[in-house]
Amino acid sequence: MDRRYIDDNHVVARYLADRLTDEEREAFEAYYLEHPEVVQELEAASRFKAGLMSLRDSGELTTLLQPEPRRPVWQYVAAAAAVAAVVVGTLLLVRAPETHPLLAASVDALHQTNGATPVIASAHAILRTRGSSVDAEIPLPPAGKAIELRVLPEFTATRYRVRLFRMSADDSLQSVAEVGGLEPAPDTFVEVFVDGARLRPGQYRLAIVGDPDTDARDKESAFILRMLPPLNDPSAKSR
Amino acid sequence: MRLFFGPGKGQKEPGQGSVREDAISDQFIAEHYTGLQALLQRRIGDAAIAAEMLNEAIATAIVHMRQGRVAQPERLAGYVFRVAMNLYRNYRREFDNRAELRAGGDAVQQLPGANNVEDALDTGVVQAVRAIVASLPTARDREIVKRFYLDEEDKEQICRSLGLGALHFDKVIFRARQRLRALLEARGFRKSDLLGVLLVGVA
Repeated sequence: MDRRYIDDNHVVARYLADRLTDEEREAFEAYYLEHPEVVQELEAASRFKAGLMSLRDSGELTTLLQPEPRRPVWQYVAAAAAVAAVVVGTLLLVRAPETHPLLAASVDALHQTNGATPVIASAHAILRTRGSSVDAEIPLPPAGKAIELRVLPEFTATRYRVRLFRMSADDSLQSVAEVGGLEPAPDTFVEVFVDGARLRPGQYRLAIVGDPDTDARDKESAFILRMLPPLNDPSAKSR
Repeated sequence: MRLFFGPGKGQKEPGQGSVREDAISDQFIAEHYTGLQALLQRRIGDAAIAAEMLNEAIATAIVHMRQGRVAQPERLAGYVFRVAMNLYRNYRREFDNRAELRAGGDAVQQLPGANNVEDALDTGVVQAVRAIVASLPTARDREIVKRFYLDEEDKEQICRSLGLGALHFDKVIFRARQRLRALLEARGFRKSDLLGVLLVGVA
């Protein structure tokens, strides 16, 4: 048993529910004796389960599970009108469409400054880390510089697709960029380049999936990245 | 009730001899194993038995450490967890084999203390769990988490009954797990703290 098996098969929750086979349980117990960070996850999941039981007993869980009330039709109409206004305004203001991607397979494809290809400010290996809620902390570069990400997928595919999402404070995801047709390097890492100056500090989710025309199209490895303000950013302290 | 929770073969009774250290206090368990204790408490329906199981698990871990059966100190935290889970499984097996001891749900609810089982969790944890559930974007996602973590249904069963793909299920549970980790870190829980305290007990 390894970390990937534990995550992919939800072993922590199933262990606490006593739903593992004897073989799985023995293997998992042997694993977590060697990996104390998994014991933390067991304790966290135990608290979560006990907390849910408490909410159920108090009757609060029933309320929490209710779908949100439907909004009146006029609110949808107003929202649609607002969106239309923003779209029209944007079309009027933007002189030329953005042709340079935020995420690319090569640094040359990113936005050029004064005709020059962006300089790579930093390179980061993105792979599963244990015992932390964040897989990588990345300082954002200034304009004209890019970030190189070397992503280690936890499955095999002939070609990959990388998707980047910004995570809001409530953990909802907003799609930021996507690039496909990525071939792995001989060391199985997949390389992408990010126009980092166009990102905001905060938490992002990077998902690597198999390209749609591959057998691995349903597989995904996801990582949490924390983008930090540029090191020389004078406003960083106030953010 | 303690009849069902005897010491394992060759083990000392908790609280006897040198097994139970002063450091193994209720406060210590509350700080480091509050989730496990609350879970055991809920399942057994008796706070005293749950606390005693944890005490015995810690005492056993320390004894085994002294006997050299726990080779590396960093394994101690997991060792405690494993012993506690085994004790619980043994307890449940014995309980299941003695039908005359089982009572209906109504009778359990009428037992003294049956409505105080949440005492092991502080209100901050319950608030955090409430926030995690509330932050899930759709009612269906909240339903998935509830059925998986609380009702302990299988993934396949949940996916089938809600008409979900396995990928969607995995995403929802992944997101809940991320929030759980953040919750734990935000509350300053560190197993290394526990290890230090246990090692003081062993020294």
